[in-house]
Amino acid sequence: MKNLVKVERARLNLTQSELAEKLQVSRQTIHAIEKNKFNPSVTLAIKMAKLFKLTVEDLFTIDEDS
Amino acid sequence: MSFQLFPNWCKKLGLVIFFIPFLFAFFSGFFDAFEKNENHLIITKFLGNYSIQIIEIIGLFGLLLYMLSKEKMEDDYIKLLRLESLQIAVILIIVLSLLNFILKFSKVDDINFSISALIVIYLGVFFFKKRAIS
Repeated sequence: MKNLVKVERARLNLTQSELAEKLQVSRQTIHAIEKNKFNPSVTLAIKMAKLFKLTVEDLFTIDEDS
Repeated sequence: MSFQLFPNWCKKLGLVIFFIPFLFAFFSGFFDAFEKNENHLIITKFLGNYSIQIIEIIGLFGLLLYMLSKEKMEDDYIKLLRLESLQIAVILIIVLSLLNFILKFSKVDDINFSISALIVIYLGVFFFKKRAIS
């Protein structure tokens, strides 16, 4: 699964730690999501989408190759 | 479901409890050697005949407390890392126990050794997995 978390985070000028604090998760979680090593739970995906003012589908897209 | 029962500050308490036996072993070894005493009388003076077992249990309790304490931020990803670490630790312990059973490379095959090794491997793998993503 691909995501735009890193792009959107940069757009809001947030560090990984700041984003993690806003979403009440660990910084490692944000890093793992950005590196596509971890797919977030539905709750976290919705929270992220709300924060970035996007839909979940826009933020997370299924990689057709994988 | 999370098995992390204790708050984050219990990690420090667990570490302190874990290192108490080391201090005991160090100082008793020092004094026993100094007094040319090979029967570890310094420890048994304090804790009686079951001193070694009591010290091992205290150490294990400290490790368990550390293992069951929460991280500063506990979330789904940390839970996933814990699960993966526990899987690796269990598989390694089974393989090591089987190898030990077949090859007899170690005379230590008591349950205390297996439990300690399981917890130490789990904590080690968890630490490195968490560190790798940082």
